[in-house]
Amino acid sequence: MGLWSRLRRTLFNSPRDAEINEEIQFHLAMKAREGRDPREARLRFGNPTTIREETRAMGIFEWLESVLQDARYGLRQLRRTPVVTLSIIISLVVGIGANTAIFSIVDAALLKSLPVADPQSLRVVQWTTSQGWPEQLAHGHSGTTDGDPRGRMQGSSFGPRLYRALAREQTAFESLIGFAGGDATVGVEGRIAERTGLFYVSENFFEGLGVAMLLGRTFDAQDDQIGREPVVILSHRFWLRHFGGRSDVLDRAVRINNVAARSVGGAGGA
Amino acid sequence: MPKSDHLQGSLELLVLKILRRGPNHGYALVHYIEQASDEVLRVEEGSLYPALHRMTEAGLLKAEWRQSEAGRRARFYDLTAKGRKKLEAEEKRWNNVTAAVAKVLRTVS
Repeated sequence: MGLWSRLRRTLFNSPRDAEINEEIQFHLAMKAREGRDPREARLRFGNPTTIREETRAMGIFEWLESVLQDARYGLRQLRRTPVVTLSIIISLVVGIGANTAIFSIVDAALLKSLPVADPQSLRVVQWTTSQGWPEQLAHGHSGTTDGDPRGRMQGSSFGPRLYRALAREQTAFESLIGFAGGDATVGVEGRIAERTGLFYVSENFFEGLGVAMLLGRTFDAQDDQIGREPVVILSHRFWLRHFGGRSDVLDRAVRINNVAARSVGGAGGA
Repeated sequence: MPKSDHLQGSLELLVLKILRRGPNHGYALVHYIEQASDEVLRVEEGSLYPALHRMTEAGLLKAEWRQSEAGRRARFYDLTAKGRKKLEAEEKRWNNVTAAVAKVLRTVS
């Protein structure tokens, strides 16, 4: 019997026990009237409880009840074979865990877009040479490169001088952003310094990505010159974690890899 | 008289056929089947009532509490239109099957 008809039967017009009972009682009474021995009549009838149950088994509560019974029975069976059960549980745990972990990585790396104004239009600039190492990259180059057997080389890392020249002269993009680094030891005003994510970026970094400042100012062309006092902008996460989102974080003395810098802004969050 | 298993498949057909004459209750059905078959067929109440409920559920019968001739309240079953159609089909099927069985019995000696 389908679940739906069980449900309907339970909600509307379901023959309750009392009704079934009365029907059976009527039957027995008729038999007795006919002169049969009531006990013999009852015996011949079979077990009234069985009939009730068989008829009743068409409702939903009985179905749920039997599902529960099945579940309990299943659990008991599992307890009886603990080694098999344990190995099943462990495989499930490992399987689900691995899937979740991989999905988290894929989600972060591929599915979630970056918290910038127009993530779809971001591009990474690469260079390719037909043969050997490009002369312009010979100085101040870091990062990874790939080569193939024919001597062709590729990379996405540019030296600062080439970057500046490209940023000045290129017309293909709205802006060309440069960044370098990854980690640094950062101490804010005498607090204990710690390793944290830090990028050295070109002055157009925030405008180029379309990330608004929450506090203070963004970098300007003056900052992007050799010999100027280094200035730093706090990422949204760093600001929340270390300053609890307080507004008095501007103009603080910050030491980055033991070089004095000054905080001038705080970036907005995603 | 041993339990008559051969009644199993035909119980539904008999119920439909008897109810064709008018609404009746379970006890009368048992009585009638036994009388009409000269006590060859005996209906187990344990299968009759579940069958009646099943058939009601399937929309072949409709049930109603009424005063019986004995003055007690009894549950009366009656055919629905669907039940009537089912009876026609089942009766035809039954006749075909029994005729076929009879034919086989006649030809094989």
